[in-house]
Amino acid sequence: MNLNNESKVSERLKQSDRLPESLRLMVGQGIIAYSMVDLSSRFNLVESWVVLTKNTIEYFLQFESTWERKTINISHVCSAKEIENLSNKRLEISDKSGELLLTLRYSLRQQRPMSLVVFLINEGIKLGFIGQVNKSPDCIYQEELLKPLAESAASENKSSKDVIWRLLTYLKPYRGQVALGGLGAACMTVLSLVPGLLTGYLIDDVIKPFQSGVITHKEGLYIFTLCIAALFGTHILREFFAWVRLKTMSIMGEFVARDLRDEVYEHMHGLSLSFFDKRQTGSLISRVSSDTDRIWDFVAFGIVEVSTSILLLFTLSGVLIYLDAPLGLMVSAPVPVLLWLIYRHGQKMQLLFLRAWRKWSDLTDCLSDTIPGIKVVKAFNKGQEEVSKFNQRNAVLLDEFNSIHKAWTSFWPVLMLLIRGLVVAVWFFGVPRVLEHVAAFNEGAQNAASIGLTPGVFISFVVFMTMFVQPIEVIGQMARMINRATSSAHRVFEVLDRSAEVVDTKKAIELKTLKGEIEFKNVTFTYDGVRPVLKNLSFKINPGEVIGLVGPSGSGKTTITNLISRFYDVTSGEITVDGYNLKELDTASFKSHLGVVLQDPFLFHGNILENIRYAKPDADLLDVIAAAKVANAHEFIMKLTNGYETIVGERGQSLSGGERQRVSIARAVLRNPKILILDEATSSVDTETEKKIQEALDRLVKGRTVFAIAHRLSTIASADRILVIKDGELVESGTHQELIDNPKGTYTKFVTLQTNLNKIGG
Amino acid sequence: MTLSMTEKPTKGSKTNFKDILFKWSEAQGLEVKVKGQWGRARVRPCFPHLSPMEYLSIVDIESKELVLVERMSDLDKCSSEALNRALEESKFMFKIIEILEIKDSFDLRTWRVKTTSGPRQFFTKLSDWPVVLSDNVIYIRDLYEDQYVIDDLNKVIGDGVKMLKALI
Ligand SMILES: Nc1ncnc2c1ncn2[C@@H]1O[C@H](COP(=O)(O)OP(=O)(O)OP(=O)(O)O)[C@@H](O)[C@H]1O
Ligand SMILES: [Mg+2]
Repeated sequence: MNLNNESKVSERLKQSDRLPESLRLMVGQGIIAYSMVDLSSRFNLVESWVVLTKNTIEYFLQFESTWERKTINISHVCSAKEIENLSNKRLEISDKSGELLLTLRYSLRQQRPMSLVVFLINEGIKLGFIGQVNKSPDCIYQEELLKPLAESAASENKSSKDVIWRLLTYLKPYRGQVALGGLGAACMTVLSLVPGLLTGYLIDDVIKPFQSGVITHKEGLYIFTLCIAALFGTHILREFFAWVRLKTMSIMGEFVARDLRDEVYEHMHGLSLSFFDKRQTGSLISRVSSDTDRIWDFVAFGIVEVSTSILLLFTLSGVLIYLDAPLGLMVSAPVPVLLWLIYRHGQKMQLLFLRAWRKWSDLTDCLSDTIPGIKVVKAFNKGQEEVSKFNQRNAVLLDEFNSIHKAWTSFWPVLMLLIRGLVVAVWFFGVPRVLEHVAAFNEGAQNAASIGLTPGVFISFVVFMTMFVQPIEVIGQMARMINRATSSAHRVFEVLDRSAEVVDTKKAIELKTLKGEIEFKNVTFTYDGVRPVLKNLSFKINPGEVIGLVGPSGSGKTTITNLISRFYDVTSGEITVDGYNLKELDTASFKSHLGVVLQDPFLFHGNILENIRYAKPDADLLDVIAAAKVANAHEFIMKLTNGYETIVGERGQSLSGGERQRVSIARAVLRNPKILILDEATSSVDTETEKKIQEALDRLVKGRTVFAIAHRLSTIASADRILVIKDGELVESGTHQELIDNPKGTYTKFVTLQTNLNKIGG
Repeated sequence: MTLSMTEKPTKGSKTNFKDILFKWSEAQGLEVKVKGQWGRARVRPCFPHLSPMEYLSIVDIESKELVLVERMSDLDKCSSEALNRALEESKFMFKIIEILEIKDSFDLRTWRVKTTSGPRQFFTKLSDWPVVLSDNVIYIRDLYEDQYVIDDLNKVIGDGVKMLKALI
């Protein structure tokens, strides 16, 4: 993977993938981290590097062919500050007196690796030296630099050929069907040549001999009947094979698409949360839905269509050349030219489509802006203006569409004309030779058969010429089709290639019962591998204890619960549950003892009953009501017309934040978990609702180990113990009374603030 | 006093810029003298694309606004030069002079360009379009949030221009 990253930096970003060797030699051992700094003070793109070692910050600026070096001892540094500009950042490193020691400028492309460097410097200022990092500096640099690219691009720089090969491996289980479909297609192609040949035969070997009296009327009629039977039989066979091909391939295509869909969806569920953090929901959805559909299209039709077209073109040319070499060559030789013309046309159309798409997105922007914002539009009475804006964009779009239509409508007739031109050429060169043949024949020449062109062959030619059009068309569109399919396949494979970060060990322990004792032992956690969000956190929670987690926004409260839920694994240290390391527990059995009410409660589309029953689909209806009562949700649910069967979620009746929270509490209650995690929404709710939620919580916590992340004083004050988290560290812990007795404590400040707010709120 | 200057940016109100001075040095960057005191400062245009030389917010290192400069012409020559130099940095964007190639691939659009800062290859999403301002000025923001500007569509050269025109 590392190797891959290197080539991505150099090939895609066109810049050095790592610190140059010469600089490594100059610095020597102990490089902790580094980053390229890409702008000069005059805003030219340059290559300079900042390198961190335990005690120094080294800066290298390329000066002609040598490197100018500047070394700053970390003990002299007092601050390192990043200043944001429109499209660049500036890092100012200054000493105690405020004098600037170093100013670095870099484009936003370098900001991720640079902000790590800044982070490390700032930590270093506190410690007196720059601390070690777990990963190799090359690895960190490349990963950080590539992150934005990796998050928005699925393509791992693989070639389309590899992707198609891989896609073909999905056909393996269906070898039989593929063979059958392929055979059907091949037979169909070959059979489609028969009518043309038969026509020629009829003229040369039936009509002509009859005309010259070589065969009798009766014989002629007999052969003629045979020909008709053969023609009819050919058509029946051909359509039979067409049916075989279409049916087997489209059904098989569905199987392949189903396999892919199943595999992708299942794989997604196995992936860790960190995978989903970085991607947009829409793009993930489309990988399971529309991408697999496109792949079906390609597998079911594309592959066969293209190969039969190629087969048909070759056999056609072969047959024509076989029938008559000069005329056959004359017809086949221009085919590559025609293909090239179609390809060129395709390129041109692509540009036109792009233009249209651009204008199309302008139009849809208009819609997606004003429809959700209709209230504002109406409030300011801007309806008419919005309408004329829409009309204007619509008119521009019309122009684009019309130019697309102009382009393709004028291209195809021209192409057809060229193909018809070939037919005319066949006539032009063929007819004199036919006449030559007929003359020689009439004169009774011995070798009449080899002179000129027989009428039958000529007719066959004319018939075959009409068959050239379709395969040429298909092959012309091949590039686009393959492009579409491979890009879909790319996106699907990207998901499949990810491996889960949180995995069960082979000998995972299954817990039948759980007491609910949780201990954090020196837990450190980082999302990105460098910046720790939790730092050396240690605490122990007894079974049945209710813990309130308090701390400023971003201090790491949700992260703590994420670790207990095992959404992520700790970076170092360990979390134990009932004395077992969390990593050694079977995730499924552990989670059956866990109930979570998320900070932003999510309800699935469906009715309230289904939403509450999500965790326990077989729960008794009475239990559901009981759970809703515990969660204080029953009352409001019954005010809705359809009671528990009211549709909620994305498109249904929208519930308020407090209501959603209570439904999700009911969901957690129904599961009857030993460990309960409550991440209280930050948004404030009115006092009445707050009281209701509080009552629900009070009922909920009995007999469970509870982690309540709370923003409201009422929730926290009732906890057995309160942990105060600040910057990922445990700064205070104790009961409400103990903590409030310390007048300078963080908790006391928090409480004072809350009380004041409540006073303002009335 | 600083507050009262920025609180009410009423149109045409004349802030007295006599006691406000700017200076610029390579070592310290922009410095401003407000109320007789020199301090390091930064400048940020309120409308970086629409009107980058007007409505300049001057903030101190803690990002607190000290003063809002409506027009450069309000300042003395020395100060406006210093401010100009500082602006160069804060409104810096890559200026595209030649578009060698614009290529769409699976899910990215790759731009190979020459800028006044040097050659560069960057990426945008396929669904991210360049922004056209009046007078043929075009802005492009890449995946990394870096910004690129084409001052005049009619003057930019290269094989990729045709493709660019399809994107706007
Ligand atoms: N998925 C993630 N990837 C990277 N960083 C993250 C992620 N989630 C949170 N962080 C960062 O981790 C830090 C702690 O976040 P966390 O959500 O634990 O805070 P919190 O204490 O729950 O805050 P709040 O009170 O606002 O909910 C923050 O700086 C945040 O930016
Ligand atoms: Mg949180």
